[in-house]
Parts: sequence; C-alpha cells; structure tokens
Amino acid sequence: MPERRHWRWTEAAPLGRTIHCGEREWQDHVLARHPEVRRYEAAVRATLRNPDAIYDNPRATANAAHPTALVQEFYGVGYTGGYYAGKLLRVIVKWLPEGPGGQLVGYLRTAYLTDRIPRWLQWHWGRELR
Amino acid sequence: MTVQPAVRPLVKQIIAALASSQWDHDPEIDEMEITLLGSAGREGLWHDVDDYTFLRVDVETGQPLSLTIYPFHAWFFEQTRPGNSLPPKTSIDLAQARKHLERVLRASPDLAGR
Repeated sequence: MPERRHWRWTEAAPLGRTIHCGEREWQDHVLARHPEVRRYEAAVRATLRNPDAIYDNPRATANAAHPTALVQEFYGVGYTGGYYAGKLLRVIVKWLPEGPGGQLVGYLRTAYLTDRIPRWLQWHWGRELR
Repeated sequence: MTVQPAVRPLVKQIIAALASSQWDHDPEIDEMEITLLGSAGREGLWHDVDDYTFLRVDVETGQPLSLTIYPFHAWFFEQTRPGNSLPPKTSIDLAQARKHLERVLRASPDLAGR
C-alpha cells in the first residue's frame, strides 16, 4: 500500500517517476544528522528532478528493511560553495513498488555532501562521474 | 630502526569520543549514524574515510561531530570476511563493529596528517 502522509515536497524524477520527501525525514534524518544540508534544500530538489547521475546501491538494497525496496543514489554537481566548494551532493532514495501496476515510488531517506562516489556503486543513469 | 608514528590527534580524539557515542541505524537503507557527544546541530565538513565511512568535523573548530557508515552491513561484512561481496542479513555486535571502526580510522590514508 502507498504511504499516506504529509509530504514536505514531491519531485518528478527522470523516467516519469515520483519522489516524496517526508517532513519527518527532512527534519529528523537530514537536518538533525547533517544540518549543513539545510542551505541546499533547493539543490537537493533540483538533483532529484535533474540529476547529473544516478547509481544503484546493491549493497544497501540487499539489507534494506523492505524486501522489495531498491536503494539508489542521486548525485548533483556544482551546487556547493564556500566551505563546501567542490563537494558532490549525494541524495539517497528508497524506491518501493506500489499500486496495482507495481510502479516504483521514491522516498528520500537522507542527503550528504561528499567527495567521491564509491567504486562498487553501479552506474544507472546520466553521466558516469567517476 | 623504524620509528612508529604516533596515533594522529584527530583519530585519537574520535576513538576517545566513540566510548560515549550514540549509534542510530536506519533499517530502510542500512545506514549507521554515529553521533559523537555534544555535536547535535553543529554544521560539519565531510571527509570520506573510505568507500563506506564518512566523517563530519565542525566547520569552525575542526572537532569531530559524527561518523556515517553506509551501508552498514556491507561494511561490517567486508571487515570480517573480505572478498565476499554480498552481505548476509544478520544482527551485528556493535562492540565488535566499534573495534573494526577504530582499526579503519587508524589505517585511513585520508586522515593522514590530521
């Protein structure tokens, strides 16, 4: 069953898919753990709408709580400045098959500012950034 | 005679702070967040320790704030059974995980000189 909750926002991702960001995830997961991401909320949304790259994370998928969940990472380039100049925006999305057609619906889980893309991630969409 | 370098100050500081750290696991994506005491709400700079481990340090003071291990099971499995790529769905002994983390921090070339 689709989750019925209050979304902070919803974005249209590539391939005609939808990604929701819950208020709880944004406040308790992103901001509480990584408060420096607060100033990049618009960039997080832009990265989900128009990512520079998407990578599959098979190792996170293998141990995700939901047996049919798929974990992907959306990367955005060129959004950061100041202390964070040159960092990549890394946004983690959990996809779940929902509805009668099993269409994938995405849920933002967290966001980081990172230097590099792990070698074992599998390129899925966009530019290969490694 | 080879002189062993002293444990680097930042690494020593992190390892000391791990004793009173808070470990929070997000089972939805298998992310482990390790918050070091007194770091809530502080903005941090990110440093990649390795492909799984990320360190945040305070932007102003350089004090360590938190560590993220992601995905946690894959990281733990690689520490204990290197060469195997698919981690099993098992519970993890956090005391053992902490020992592995301390070893990773001591060995990290990315923390060299810090």
